Amino acid sequence: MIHINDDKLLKYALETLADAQEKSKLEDHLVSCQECQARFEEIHRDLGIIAGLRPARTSESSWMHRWIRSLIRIAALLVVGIVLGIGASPLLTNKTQGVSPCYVILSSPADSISQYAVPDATEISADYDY
Amino acid sequence: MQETGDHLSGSELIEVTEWVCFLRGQRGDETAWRKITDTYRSRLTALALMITRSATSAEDVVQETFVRALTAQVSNTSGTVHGFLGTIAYRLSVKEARRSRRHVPLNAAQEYTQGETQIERLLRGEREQLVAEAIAALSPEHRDVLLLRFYGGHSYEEISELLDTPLGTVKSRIFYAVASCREVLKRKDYTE
Repeated sequence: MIHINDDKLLKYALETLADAQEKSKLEDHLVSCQECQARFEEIHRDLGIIAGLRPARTSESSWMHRWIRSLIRIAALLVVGIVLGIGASPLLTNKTQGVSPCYVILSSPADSISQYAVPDATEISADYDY
Repeated sequence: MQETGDHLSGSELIEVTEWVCFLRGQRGDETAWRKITDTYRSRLTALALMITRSATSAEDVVQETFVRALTAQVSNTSGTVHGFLGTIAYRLSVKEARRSRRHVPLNAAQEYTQGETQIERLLRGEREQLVAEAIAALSPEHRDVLLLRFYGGHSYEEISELLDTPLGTVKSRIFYAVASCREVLKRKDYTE
């Protein structure tokens, strides 16, 4: 018995065999030949594997990260808005006189920043060496 | 859209039902839209991942695909919903791949994020990574035909039209692409 070669079986599995007569002959052979059936099943299994990539649904976590990033951005914008709003507010002009509006927000929690802040004139020590 | 009736085959009936589901989703039926996105998300993500080579880009492409599909004016429902979404995802992926290569030169280091490749981020199984490796080793022409056929839901005729390539060439490319992938799988003894 002449068996069907792998290339032809693959073309059949891929539905690219154009010749109807050839296709019909191949199908007749497949019904009666266990060896070709086994190779055809192997090809079929391989096609399933090649077409079977199913990426893990990481989108939930990545979307969560994106949401968190978005929230951080919104929060940052709000802080900037508040800072600028306070800085521009006529109500606070007396309180913030001579002080950069940035210090209003940044100086309280960020101790590390305070070293860069220009000391207020009223805080200069009176222990001068004359 | 085709009319539902006694003469429709099983697959045709599924296609009609899917378009009905799709159009309901477009009109605001959240359950219907979720069914569409749940059905095709992973396959479209695989398609986008293999073209963009970036997990983040792939997820963004798929999200953008659904957003565009949601607002798209569908005038022709002769194809499948999968093919419709696959076309959008494919075009966005190619665009994204070109954009990222233009602005950020690809090199091995950039493909890694926290010790794992972009592909490993989404494809956890060893066999899946092997398949991805085999597909990635193909030329873009062969890779795209394989992806459109297996992950984009396109017929050979649709691929021929989409890529502006003769039908015979499309068929020979899918044959070569699959044969190459099988060779890689065999070499690595993927069955274990």
